Amino acid sequence: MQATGLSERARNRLGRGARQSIVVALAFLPCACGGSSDPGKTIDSVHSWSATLALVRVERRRHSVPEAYARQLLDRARDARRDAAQSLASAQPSSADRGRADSALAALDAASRRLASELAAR
Amino acid sequence: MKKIGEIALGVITSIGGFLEVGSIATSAQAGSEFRFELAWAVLLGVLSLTLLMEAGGRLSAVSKRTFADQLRERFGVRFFMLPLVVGLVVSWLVLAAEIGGVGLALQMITGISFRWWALPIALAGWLLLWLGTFKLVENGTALLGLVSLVFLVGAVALHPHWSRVAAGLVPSAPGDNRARYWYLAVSILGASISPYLYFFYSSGAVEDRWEPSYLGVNRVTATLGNIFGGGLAVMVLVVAALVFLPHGIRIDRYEQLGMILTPPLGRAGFVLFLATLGVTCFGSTVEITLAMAYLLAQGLGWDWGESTKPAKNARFAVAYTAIVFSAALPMLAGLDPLAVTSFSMVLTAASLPVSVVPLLVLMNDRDVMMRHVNRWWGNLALAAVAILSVVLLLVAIPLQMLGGS
Repeated sequence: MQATGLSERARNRLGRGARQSIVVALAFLPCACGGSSDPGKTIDSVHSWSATLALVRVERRRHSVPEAYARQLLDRARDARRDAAQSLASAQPSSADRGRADSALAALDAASRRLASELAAR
Repeated sequence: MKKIGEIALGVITSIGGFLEVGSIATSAQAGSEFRFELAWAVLLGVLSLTLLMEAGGRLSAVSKRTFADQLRERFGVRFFMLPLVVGLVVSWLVLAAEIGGVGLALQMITGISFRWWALPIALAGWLLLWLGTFKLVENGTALLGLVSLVFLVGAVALHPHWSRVAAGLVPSAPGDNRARYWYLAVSILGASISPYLYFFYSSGAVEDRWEPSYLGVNRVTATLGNIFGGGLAVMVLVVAALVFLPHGIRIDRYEQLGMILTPPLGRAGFVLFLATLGVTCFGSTVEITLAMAYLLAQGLGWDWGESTKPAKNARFAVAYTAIVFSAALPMLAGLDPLAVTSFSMVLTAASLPVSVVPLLVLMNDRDVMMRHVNRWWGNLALAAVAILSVVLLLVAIPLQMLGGS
């Protein structure tokens, strides 16, 4: 398609406007990076990963998912466990949350071991 | 007869091209955490997008100019810089997420990390743009995207209570975790109403040389294509609600989505989900790259056109080359694709007013639209979308901080 030409003045304005707009657009970026480190959410996430590993074991037995995929999920669950442990350590949760977190992490460890041993048995 | 064929092709490609990394992720997250309660957000997003695309198509068919051209000419270069820069920044992030989506599909098949696929995917997308025509880009990937109909099959196979799904189409107050609920609603709206879609659609209308006789084609294509496509996004939400929520699985990583279709469809479900993710994200990769190059070229007054040889539109070709390869870099660096997706969907929602409000003004400009200006009901609907976009701007960032993962 043919260009619609711009005058020299328009080009100058364009440069100035672009600089101002870039500042406005970039101003959003740091504001939006925040995410909360609520111990409750972290514990929910750990439970979710235990459930994910339980489901992948079921689907693997049904031959619905390949071994390589199950291994990837096992790795991601281990990453999530490490992140959760770090997040909980820095959040200083209440003793009740600490107890829930310990039991959730233990359940995830057990789920990881079960899947790992099934994958190793192949 | 020719127009009926164009309508059929337009509707089919809209269905095949609707799902992409953002709509898959946000719908799946919503279903896995809130069952069918957020289906209304998909519906609202689809209706809003339909209005915007119809307006953008009508603007281009009547004026034979793109939305970006009209924005610059009607509001001046200085104002135009805002939608240009905001549009480019937000679309670049979405593009990075789409490349990540293709990479994840390949990772789940091969076991090779998505990071190593980022540059080959960018190269494949660039080759398609360099060698292909607009028709090939627009229709080819979207036709392959019809594989996403597997979500309809999966939903039917899971036998949901359709009355409960229908109830989810009506907004309801969340029981608990309100910040997360509204955050996901905003993310779904951001995924549905991406500005690149109506900028691309408007540019496509000019590439296809639409004129006022195409207004009927435009209306039917925009309406039916988006409604059927949006229906697929609702099916993703339904399947996620029935597969993940009963197990207590919430989607923190894309890899978890690999099992979304295995309970109803077994191994075929795994393969077809990956095909859907890979094909639809690749289609979006090419479309977003092209939409960004269009926006840049139209904004800066360069020659442009996907169907013209690159040598004749050198700056346009350089622009899409730089865009697609630069967007591969965040994935090459190993940024989490789901985090990039969630972040970009919220920013997309926040960026809407800078293009939606001017579109409403243009649709009432008799110098541009002549007798095809908006009627009162069109203004009412588009004004509602503009108000929604302003609300999204105000709430998107606070909700990202309160409800984001």
